[in-house]
Amino acid sequence: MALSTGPELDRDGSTGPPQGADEPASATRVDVFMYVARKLGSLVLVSVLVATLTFVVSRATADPSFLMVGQDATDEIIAARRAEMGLDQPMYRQWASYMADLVRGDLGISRRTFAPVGGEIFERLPATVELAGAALLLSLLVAIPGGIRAGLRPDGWIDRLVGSIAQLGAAIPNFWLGLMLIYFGFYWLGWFPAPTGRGLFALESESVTGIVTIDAILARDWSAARDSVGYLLLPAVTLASGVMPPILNVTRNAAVSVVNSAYYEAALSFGVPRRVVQRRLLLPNISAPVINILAITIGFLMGGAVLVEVVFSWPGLGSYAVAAMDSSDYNPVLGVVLLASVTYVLVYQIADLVTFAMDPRLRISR
Amino acid sequence: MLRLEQLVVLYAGLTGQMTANRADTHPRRTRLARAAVWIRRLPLLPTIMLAITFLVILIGPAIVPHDPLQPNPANVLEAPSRGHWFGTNGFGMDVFSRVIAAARIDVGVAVAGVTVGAVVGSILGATVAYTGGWVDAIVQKAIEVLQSFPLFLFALALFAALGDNTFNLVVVISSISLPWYVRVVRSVISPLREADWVKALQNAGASGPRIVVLELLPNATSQVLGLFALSTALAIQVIAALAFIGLGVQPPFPEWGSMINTGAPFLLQGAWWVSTFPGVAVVLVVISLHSLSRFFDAETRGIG
Repeated sequence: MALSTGPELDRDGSTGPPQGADEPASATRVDVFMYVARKLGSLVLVSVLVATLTFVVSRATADPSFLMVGQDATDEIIAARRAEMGLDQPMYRQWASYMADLVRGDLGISRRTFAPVGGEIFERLPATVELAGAALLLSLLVAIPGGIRAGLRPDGWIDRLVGSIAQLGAAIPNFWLGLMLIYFGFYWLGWFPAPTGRGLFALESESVTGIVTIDAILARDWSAARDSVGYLLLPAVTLASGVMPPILNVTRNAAVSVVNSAYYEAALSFGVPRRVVQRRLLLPNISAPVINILAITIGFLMGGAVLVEVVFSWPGLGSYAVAAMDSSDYNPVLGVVLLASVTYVLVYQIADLVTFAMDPRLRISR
Repeated sequence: MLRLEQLVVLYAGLTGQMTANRADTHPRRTRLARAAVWIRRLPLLPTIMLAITFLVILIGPAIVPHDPLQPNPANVLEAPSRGHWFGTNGFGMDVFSRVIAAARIDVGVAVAGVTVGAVVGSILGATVAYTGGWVDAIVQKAIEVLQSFPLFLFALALFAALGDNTFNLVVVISSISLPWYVRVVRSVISPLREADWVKALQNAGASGPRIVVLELLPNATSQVLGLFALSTALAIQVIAALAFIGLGVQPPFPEWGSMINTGAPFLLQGAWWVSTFPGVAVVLVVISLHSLSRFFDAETRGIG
């Protein structure tokens, strides 16, 4: 994702020779098609490989047939059970049926609750999305303006302040920060509710999106909205403290490289107002790396909220995976792992496409 | 070894291709001098902090005021005092002694795991960078797949596959860190594959493994050192996080993450010290490693 800035800008086709103006355009369309096709191919390939890895892990765990029959099962019963579960088939057959199940959305059965893992994940998804969304929003509110301000004056006081906050945020284990916030916010100050999950009970109207805060606002149920924000705030701050630093650093460094570039200085020396230069030159040129790190962050948040969810008893995917892990129930763990990784790959490729659509240089150079 | 280097220098001198990295007639002395410069410019505070950590790992368990594993029903959950600097936990064990004793397992396992990952990953990265072609492409794809797993969930899945014990903790840490080294070393060494001094070595009859390990790999030294500090910091966080949810190191064995976990219920009774101090230890060690890593990064950019 090397973003070359400066001279390449001049190669933008807008000032190019008029002849053959439609020929490059059609060539570009084919290029774009090829690019999107290659991205899709890569997406499918990586997803299949990721699923293959979870398949390997699922076969490397203890043979589930032993755990599903009683202690005094005979060899025949075990063999029958294995045949029933398809474990006596050759590996490639097992792999094929695993893949076929995945395509149908079948992630297996939880050994703890005897419910299909896919359904349980679907039920818990909104909680994780709510927490991750709130954390992403919070960290963007700090990281983007903070990063740009810091980058405009490297080594200035804003840069130092924001930089130290980011350093601290990256070093503090977020499960520990969560506990400390619970101690101060709940035990000491009493401003926040006990860490018992989401404020589900507060909402009387019917759920529309599954995301409590948004549901409450849609239903104009302001007391429920306030409650759910109260439940949401501490875990969101905790999670944001971990994901904010990388976004901040990338934004800051991108801004620094733009501010130090010749075209930026040239625009300023031509007397273009600072505000205009910042809007027209700074923002577009830092967008590609920022979008890239955002994609990584979203992918991380889908699976990275594990410990924060555990600390705040948040009923999302992370606490689900940990609870399953506790009772050696591996299908839910692998289901969550698979969902998180495929989401990551998907978001990452979408971010690449967005960058591609936004940056004309990427189309020209192909 | 010296003869080959001289040949390269000769060749480079003849073709006028004096590469900054390799074309010195006294490679050993340069390396020492460069190391001396590094040591003199190391950031002060983090270095002292890490030196203390190292000392604590070496002699800590011998000098702690109390036995970290000795429960004492008479003074359970005692607040920090002169007798117990960090207070006592729910079993009356001395928290200060436990925080000190835990450094050995936390930092030890992190360093062990990351070292394995660093050695294997660096050699693999340098090899594929030197070989190129389809091997390179396959390894790159594999790294991409591995890195699309969220770190912590990847560790969970590995524990699910391998079983939960301290040896497997080392395996988990090394498999988490391996891809980073492959990636970084590969990106540093790939552009060197076509360099004249590499061709000179090939013409002089140097074997492939020799070129990769002795000649190519040293070019990535400062990147690898920076990454080592960074990944050790991350490994400490992962180990503590895993122990926090009951995987890896098991209580009552002193470990920062499990100490934070066992102290969590007492937070709501006002006993903040059981969870707070091990967390502070993690933060201090990790912050020192981070600034050390930033120092190596700056060096990399400075030397070019």
